[in-house]
Amino acid sequence: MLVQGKLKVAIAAGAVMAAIAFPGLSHAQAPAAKPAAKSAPAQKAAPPSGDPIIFGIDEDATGPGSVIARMSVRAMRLAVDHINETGGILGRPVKIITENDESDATKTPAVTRKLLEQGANVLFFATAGSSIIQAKPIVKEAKVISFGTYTITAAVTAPPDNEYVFSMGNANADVTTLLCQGWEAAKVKRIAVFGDGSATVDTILKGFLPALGKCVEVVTTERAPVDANDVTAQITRIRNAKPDAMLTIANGGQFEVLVQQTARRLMPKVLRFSTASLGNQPDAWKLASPSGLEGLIFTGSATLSNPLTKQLDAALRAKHKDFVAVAAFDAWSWDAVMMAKAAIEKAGGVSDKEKLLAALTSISGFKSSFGQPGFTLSFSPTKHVASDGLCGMNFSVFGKDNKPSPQLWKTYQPKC
Amino acid sequence: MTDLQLWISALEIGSFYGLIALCYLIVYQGALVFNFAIGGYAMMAGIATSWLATEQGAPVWLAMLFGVVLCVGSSVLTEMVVVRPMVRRSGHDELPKLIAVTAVLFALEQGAGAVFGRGSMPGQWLFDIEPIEMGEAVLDGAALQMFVVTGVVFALVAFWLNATRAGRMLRAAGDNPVAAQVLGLPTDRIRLTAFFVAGVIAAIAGIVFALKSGITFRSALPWSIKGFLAAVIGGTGGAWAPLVGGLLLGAIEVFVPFYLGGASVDYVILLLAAVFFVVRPQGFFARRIRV
Repeated sequence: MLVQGKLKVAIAAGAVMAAIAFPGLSHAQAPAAKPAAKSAPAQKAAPPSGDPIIFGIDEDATGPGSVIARMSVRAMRLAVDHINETGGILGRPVKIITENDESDATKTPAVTRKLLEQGANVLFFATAGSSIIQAKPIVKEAKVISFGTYTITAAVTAPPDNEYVFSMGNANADVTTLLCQGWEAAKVKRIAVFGDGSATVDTILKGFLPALGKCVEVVTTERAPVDANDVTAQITRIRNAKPDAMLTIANGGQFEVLVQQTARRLMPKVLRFSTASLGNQPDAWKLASPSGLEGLIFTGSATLSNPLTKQLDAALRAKHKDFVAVAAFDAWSWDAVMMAKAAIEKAGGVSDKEKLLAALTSISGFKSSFGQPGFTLSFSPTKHVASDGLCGMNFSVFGKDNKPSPQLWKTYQPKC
Repeated sequence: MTDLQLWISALEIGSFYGLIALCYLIVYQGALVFNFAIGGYAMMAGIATSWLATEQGAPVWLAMLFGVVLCVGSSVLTEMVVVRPMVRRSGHDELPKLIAVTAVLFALEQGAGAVFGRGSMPGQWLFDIEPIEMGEAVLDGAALQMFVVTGVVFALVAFWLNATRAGRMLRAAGDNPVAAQVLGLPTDRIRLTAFFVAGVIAAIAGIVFALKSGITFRSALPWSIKGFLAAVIGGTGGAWAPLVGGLLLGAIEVFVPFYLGGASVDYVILLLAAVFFVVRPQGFFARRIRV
């Protein structure tokens, strides 16, 4: 009697908590992958003065994308420090203000308005693509140029309300094109797809699967909750489907380490590909068991053969003692700040918002901190994704030390 | 159902859920509250151990000791600062205590994120154990450690509950708290002991399970939920009941995705939970109380 009576209350509480806890029934979060860097050594310049130009950052500081957002904001702060040390923008200092939306799309509109009320002249969204989409009407109304610093969700920069919204890395369509080219070179005909259970991956899969189906046979698609403790069942199903390769589409981190380790153990002869979230999360590599990531091929964006990438890597390494390696999120964010700077200088300030937009959308041939050497970025009134083509990406491969090998995947690289 | 690798996985995660469920059972016996902060304690032990070893360069044994102390400290403090005052104010009223310990869970989660970082951290090995090949299946070191630890912990707790004075007092307090008070049993001390023992077990579980694929501050809530479900399924009928609940939950987490696909597992688990909540809330093994 006593036990049953007490259980009623506990069960009610447990049910509420379960609704919060099961990611398969709720939402999760964000992005995917590519690398980069840029810019010159600090030159002596007159210190900036006057009213600061305000860069407002919506950072997922405590939510599910906080690890990625931290990388992005770290690079943006480095870029702003560099700008201020080299004379500011048009002689004015740059000041950063931040707010936190936790990658929660319901919070993003309020956070965006708050940043605008605090005087933000340019907005940077270090948050999930689904969150940025909620901010689009607000930035359009405010006429403030805005950058998604690590999103590759096509809907972010697509109409409607996209006039003032821009992103940096190659969009999903480029990733599928590159994968198809790589698989053709590797004679991969049958692939299995493994995705995490997040809403972001739901969206990505809707675009990916039809596109991939045009170049290979997708023999099975498996999913697992983002906080899954074990994926042996899904990998066993994939093994039983006898694919030539497995493609993982996930938010990276702990989940993808678990997937890659299990796949390597249970089907060591099957090629493993990733859309690079894990490849762009150096802090997560240490989670893998010895050689657990060896052989994983990912569509990366950072290669130290690009001198600007190398420069950014060195700058971050000098600034942060725990820095592991430069990745796409660093480089995209750095370049977003630098492109904003270029646009402001071209427009002669931030007061004329339409002139600033026109300046940004006329930038072309901007040397990128990511992609292959010489890769460039540009915007136009109809092109809101900065990357100029597939050479913003490469195929990288993990070595025995659970780090991307300096040698890119030998079987195929995009022709640049 | 003949793939040995799947059974190894089911046993491994089932053992972990069983340990967390055992913590629920012990605290329930001593304090008549389902302590939803248990997952938070386990996470705290795992993440603190990893943080001290990887970020601060401490020896692994010292980091583990730190993790255990932090976890047990959190558990004991929950009893002294949160639960005990509530018992004094509202007696055996369940709801205020439930809300309070749930708040503790979220405080631990965010506190760990703020102090130890919001990224994932790798589990720490005290002993390097080579994987054992069993035909096409592999029993890795993390799973082997989990099996050994689970067996030892459950055996010790069963002995403690049935053969020691402290254990019998805990059961008596849980069976009939009013009678225990009337008979003059030291209910405050019993409750504190329950939180202490649960803290030790949660610490061991968190540290060992972190070996599987690392740990993050966000592990707390799902661990609390799964442990709670295992406790509900197993019931409060004995020391081994939580292990039964945990193993069943582990089997579902492995075999449902295998046969029905990964997207279905959360729905099946919630359906199972709903069935137990409605049809058999006392779980597989109910306590028999003589009044």
